[in-house]
Amino acid sequence: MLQKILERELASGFSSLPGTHIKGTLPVPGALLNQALKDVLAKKGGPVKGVMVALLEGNKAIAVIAIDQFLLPKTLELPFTIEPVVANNGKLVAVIELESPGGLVGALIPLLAGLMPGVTANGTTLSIDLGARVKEKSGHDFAPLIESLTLSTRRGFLDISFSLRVPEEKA
Amino acid sequence: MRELLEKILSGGGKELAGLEIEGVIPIRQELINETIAQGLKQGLTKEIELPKEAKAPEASQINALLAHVKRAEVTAEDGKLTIAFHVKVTS
Repeated sequence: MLQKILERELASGFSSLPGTHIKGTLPVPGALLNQALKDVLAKKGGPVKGVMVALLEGNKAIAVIAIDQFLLPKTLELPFTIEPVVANNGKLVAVIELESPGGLVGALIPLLAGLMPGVTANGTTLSIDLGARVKEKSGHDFAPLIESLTLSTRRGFLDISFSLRVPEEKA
Repeated sequence: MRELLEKILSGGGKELAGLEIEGVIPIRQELINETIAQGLKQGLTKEIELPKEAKAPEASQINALLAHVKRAEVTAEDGKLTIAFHVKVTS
Protein backbone atom coordinates (compact mmCIF):
# COMPACT_ATOMS: atom_id res chain seq x y z
CA MET A 1 0.00 0.00 0.00
CA LEU A 2 2.74 2.45 0.98
CA GLN A 3 4.58 1.18 -2.05
CA LYS A 4 1.62 2.31 -4.17
CA ILE A 5 1.84 5.84 -2.77
CA LEU A 6 5.55 5.93 -3.53
CA GLU A 7 4.96 4.56 -7.04
CA ARG A 8 2.28 7.18 -7.67
CA GLU A 9 4.59 9.98 -6.53
CA LEU A 10 7.41 8.68 -8.73
CA ALA A 11 5.06 8.44 -11.72
CA SER A 12 3.71 11.97 -11.21
CA GLY A 13 7.14 13.55 -10.75
CA PHE A 14 6.50 14.00 -7.01
CA SER A 15 3.45 16.17 -7.69
CA SER A 16 2.42 16.00 -4.01
CA LEU A 17 5.75 17.54 -3.04
CA PRO A 18 5.75 20.87 -4.94
CA GLY A 19 8.53 23.20 -3.91
CA THR A 20 10.88 20.37 -3.01
CA HIS A 21 14.47 21.37 -3.62
CA ILE A 22 17.41 19.09 -2.90
CA LYS A 23 20.98 19.82 -3.89
CA GLY A 24 24.30 18.39 -3.03
CA THR A 25 27.51 16.67 -3.94
CA LEU A 26 28.04 12.92 -3.90
CA PRO A 27 31.63 11.73 -3.96
CA VAL A 28 31.86 8.35 -5.65
CA PRO A 29 35.05 6.46 -4.74
CA GLY A 30 36.91 5.08 -7.72
CA ALA A 31 36.70 1.63 -6.08
CA LEU A 32 32.90 1.79 -6.29
CA LEU A 33 33.05 2.82 -9.93
CA ASN A 34 35.46 0.01 -10.76
CA GLN A 35 33.32 -2.52 -8.92
CA ALA A 36 30.31 -1.36 -11.00
CA LEU A 37 32.37 -1.78 -14.19
CA LYS A 38 33.45 -5.25 -13.03
CA ASP A 39 29.79 -6.19 -12.41
CA VAL A 40 28.82 -4.98 -15.91
CA LEU A 41 31.69 -6.86 -17.56
CA ALA A 42 30.92 -10.05 -15.65
CA LYS A 43 27.61 -10.24 -17.51
CA LYS A 44 29.19 -9.58 -20.91
CA GLY A 45 31.17 -11.71 -23.29
CA GLY A 46 33.49 -10.29 -25.92
CA PRO A 47 37.12 -9.29 -26.17
CA VAL A 48 37.09 -6.70 -23.36
CA LYS A 49 37.96 -8.71 -20.26
CA GLY A 50 38.40 -5.93 -17.76
CA VAL A 51 38.30 -2.18 -17.32
CA MET A 52 39.84 -0.25 -14.44
CA VAL A 53 39.50 3.49 -14.26
CA ALA A 54 41.99 5.74 -12.46
CA LEU A 55 40.38 9.08 -11.66
CA LEU A 56 42.69 12.09 -11.74
CA GLU A 57 42.37 15.82 -11.10
CA GLY A 58 40.49 18.14 -13.44
CA ASN A 59 38.02 15.70 -15.06
CA LYS A 60 40.87 13.61 -16.40
CA ALA A 61 41.02 9.85 -16.05
CA ILE A 62 42.77 6.83 -17.47
CA ALA A 63 41.03 3.58 -18.36
CA VAL A 64 43.20 0.49 -18.22
CA ILE A 65 41.59 -2.07 -20.49
CA ALA A 66 42.39 -5.78 -20.57
CA ILE A 67 41.54 -7.26 -23.93
CA ASP A 68 41.71 -10.56 -25.67
CA GLN A 69 41.73 -9.66 -29.34
CA PHE A 70 44.05 -10.72 -32.13
CA LEU A 71 46.54 -7.99 -33.18
CA LEU A 72 45.83 -5.81 -30.17
CA PRO A 73 48.02 -5.57 -27.06
CA LYS A 74 46.76 -7.36 -23.94
CA THR A 75 46.37 -4.18 -21.95
CA LEU A 76 45.79 -0.66 -23.09
CA GLU A 77 45.87 2.64 -21.29
CA LEU A 78 43.29 5.01 -22.65
CA PRO A 79 43.33 8.54 -21.21
CA PHE A 80 40.03 10.40 -21.37
CA THR A 81 38.28 13.57 -20.27
CA ILE A 82 34.85 13.69 -18.65
CA GLU A 83 32.66 16.60 -19.77
CA PRO A 84 31.41 18.35 -16.63
CA VAL A 85 27.84 19.14 -17.72
CA VAL A 86 25.43 16.18 -17.76
CA ALA A 87 22.00 17.86 -17.60
CA ASN A 88 21.23 19.72 -20.79
CA ASN A 89 17.87 20.68 -22.36
CA GLY A 90 15.94 18.18 -20.25
CA LYS A 91 18.33 15.34 -21.09
CA LEU A 92 20.90 13.63 -18.90
CA VAL A 93 23.84 12.65 -21.04
CA ALA A 94 27.36 12.04 -19.75
CA VAL A 95 30.03 12.65 -22.38
CA ILE A 96 33.49 11.13 -22.39
CA GLU A 97 36.14 12.36 -24.80
CA LEU A 98 38.84 9.79 -25.47
CA GLU A 99 42.31 10.92 -26.36
CA SER A 100 42.64 10.00 -29.98
CA PRO A 101 44.00 6.45 -30.03
CA GLY A 102 46.10 5.51 -33.01
CA GLY A 103 45.89 2.53 -35.33
CA LEU A 104 44.00 -0.56 -34.33
CA VAL A 105 43.31 0.78 -30.87
CA GLY A 106 40.67 3.02 -32.45
CA ALA A 107 38.77 -0.18 -33.20
CA LEU A 108 38.26 -0.53 -29.48
CA ILE A 109 35.95 2.45 -29.21
CA PRO A 110 32.85 0.73 -30.61
CA LEU A 111 33.67 -2.25 -28.36
CA LEU A 112 33.73 0.04 -25.34
CA ALA A 113 30.44 1.61 -26.41
CA GLY A 114 28.93 -1.86 -26.69
CA LEU A 115 29.76 -2.71 -23.08
CA MET A 116 26.78 -0.86 -21.67
CA PRO A 117 23.33 -0.16 -23.05
CA GLY A 118 22.69 3.50 -23.77
CA VAL A 119 26.29 4.22 -24.78
CA THR A 120 26.96 5.54 -28.27
CA ALA A 121 30.27 6.29 -29.95
CA ASN A 122 30.90 9.14 -32.36
CA GLY A 123 34.54 9.29 -33.32
CA THR A 124 36.42 9.56 -30.05
CA THR A 125 33.34 10.74 -28.13
CA LEU A 126 31.35 8.33 -25.99
CA SER A 127 27.87 9.50 -24.91
CA ILE A 128 26.07 7.76 -22.08
CA ASP A 129 22.34 8.48 -21.97
CA LEU A 130 21.90 8.35 -18.20
CA GLY A 131 18.32 9.66 -18.38
CA ALA A 132 17.28 6.80 -20.64
CA ARG A 133 19.09 4.25 -18.42
CA VAL A 134 17.37 5.51 -15.27
CA LYS A 135 14.01 5.56 -17.07
CA GLU A 136 14.58 2.02 -18.32
CA LYS A 137 15.53 0.76 -14.86
CA SER A 138 12.94 2.64 -12.80
CA GLY A 139 10.19 3.25 -15.34
CA HIS A 140 10.23 6.96 -14.44
CA ASP A 141 11.62 10.03 -16.14
CA PHE A 142 13.50 12.12 -13.58
CA ALA A 143 15.21 14.38 -16.11
CA PRO A 144 12.57 17.17 -15.90
CA LEU A 145 13.26 17.48 -12.16
CA ILE A 146 17.02 17.85 -12.52
CA GLU A 147 18.02 21.53 -12.55
CA SER A 148 21.69 20.78 -12.84
CA LEU A 149 23.97 17.77 -12.81
CA THR A 150 27.71 18.12 -13.16
CA LEU A 151 30.66 15.80 -12.83
CA SER A 152 34.14 16.61 -11.60
CA THR A 153 37.06 14.44 -10.63
CA ARG A 154 39.88 14.50 -8.14
CA ARG A 155 42.40 11.77 -7.47
CA GLY A 156 40.41 8.61 -6.74
CA PHE A 157 36.97 10.22 -6.71
CA LEU A 158 34.19 11.23 -9.06
CA ASP A 159 32.13 14.06 -7.55
CA ILE A 160 28.52 14.31 -8.70
CA SER A 161 26.93 17.68 -8.00
CA PHE A 162 23.20 17.95 -8.47
CA SER A 163 20.21 20.17 -7.93
CA LEU A 164 16.72 18.72 -8.06
CA ARG A 165 13.53 20.76 -7.90
CA VAL A 166 9.82 19.94 -8.04
CA PRO A 167 8.17 22.97 -9.64
CA GLU A 168 5.62 24.91 -7.62
CA GLU A 169 3.15 24.84 -10.54
CA LYS A 170 2.81 21.07 -10.10
CA ALA A 171 0.62 21.89 -7.08
CA MET B 1 28.85 -4.08 -5.12
CA ARG B 2 26.69 -4.75 -2.07
CA GLU B 3 29.76 -5.71 -0.02
CA LEU B 4 31.45 -2.47 -0.99
CA LEU B 5 28.41 -0.39 -0.04
CA GLU B 6 28.20 -2.24 3.29
CA LYS B 7 31.89 -1.51 3.87
CA ILE B 8 31.26 2.19 3.24
CA LEU B 9 28.32 2.16 5.68
CA SER B 10 30.25 0.19 8.30
CA GLY B 11 32.88 2.94 8.26
CA GLY B 12 30.20 5.42 9.30
CA GLY B 13 30.47 7.07 5.91
CA LYS B 14 34.14 8.09 6.40
CA GLU B 15 34.84 6.99 2.83
CA LEU B 16 32.23 9.49 1.72
CA ALA B 17 34.11 12.55 2.99
CA GLY B 18 32.95 15.46 0.87
CA LEU B 19 29.35 14.27 0.63
CA GLU B 20 26.94 17.13 1.18
CA ILE B 21 23.20 17.19 0.66
CA GLU B 22 20.77 19.85 1.72
CA GLY B 23 17.17 20.30 0.91
CA VAL B 24 13.66 21.37 1.66
CA ILE B 25 10.75 18.98 1.24
CA PRO B 26 7.26 20.42 1.70
CA ILE B 27 4.76 17.60 2.19
CA ARG B 28 1.04 18.26 1.84
CA GLN B 29 -1.14 17.18 4.73
CA GLU B 30 -3.24 15.06 2.35
CA LEU B 31 -0.18 12.95 1.53
CA ILE B 32 0.76 12.63 5.21
CA ASN B 33 -2.77 11.58 6.17
CA GLU B 34 -2.96 9.13 3.29
CA THR B 35 0.36 7.61 4.32
CA ILE B 36 -0.75 7.31 7.96
CA ALA B 37 -4.07 5.75 6.89
CA GLN B 38 -2.30 3.22 4.68
CA GLY B 39 0.21 2.49 7.43
CA LEU B 40 -2.57 1.83 9.92
CA LYS B 41 -4.39 -0.35 7.41
CA GLN B 42 -1.41 -2.60 6.78
CA GLY B 43 -0.26 -2.55 10.39
CA LEU B 44 2.40 -0.19 11.66
CA THR B 45 4.01 -2.94 13.71
CA LYS B 46 4.55 -5.19 10.74
CA GLU B 47 8.24 -5.79 10.31
CA ILE B 48 9.81 -4.39 7.20
CA GLU B 49 11.06 -7.22 5.07
CA LEU B 50 14.58 -6.75 3.82
CA PRO B 51 15.89 -8.49 0.72
CA LYS B 52 17.34 -11.90 1.60
CA GLU B 53 20.96 -10.91 1.15
CA ALA B 54 20.60 -7.50 2.85
CA LYS B 55 21.74 -6.95 6.40
CA ALA B 56 19.94 -4.42 8.56
CA PRO B 57 22.33 -1.65 9.60
CA GLU B 58 23.53 -1.86 13.18
CA ALA B 59 22.67 0.87 15.70
CA SER B 60 26.32 1.98 15.79
CA GLN B 61 26.32 2.38 12.00
CA ILE B 62 23.11 4.41 12.13
CA ASN B 63 24.53 6.60 14.93
CA ALA B 64 27.73 7.13 12.94
CA LEU B 65 25.70 8.21 9.92
CA LEU B 66 23.43 10.45 12.02
CA ALA B 67 26.54 12.26 13.27
CA HIS B 68 26.81 13.77 9.80
CA VAL B 69 23.36 15.39 9.97
CA LYS B 70 24.14 19.06 10.55
CA ARG B 71 20.58 20.36 10.56
CA ALA B 72 17.08 18.91 10.54
CA GLU B 73 14.02 21.07 11.04
CA VAL B 74 10.32 20.55 10.65
CA THR B 75 7.85 23.38 10.28
CA ALA B 76 4.10 23.21 9.69
CA GLU B 77 1.94 25.83 8.05
CA ASP B 78 -0.94 26.18 5.58
CA GLY B 79 -1.69 22.48 5.37
CA LYS B 80 1.84 21.33 4.72
CA LEU B 81 4.76 20.02 6.71
CA THR B 82 8.17 21.19 5.57
CA ILE B 83 11.29 19.22 6.32
CA ALA B 84 14.62 21.03 5.94
CA PHE B 85 17.87 19.16 6.29
CA HIS B 86 21.59 19.45 5.77
CA VAL B 87 23.95 16.48 5.75
CA LYS B 88 27.70 16.92 5.43
CA VAL B 89 30.42 14.32 5.77
CA THR B 90 33.64 16.06 6.68
CA SER B 91 35.84 13.13 7.69
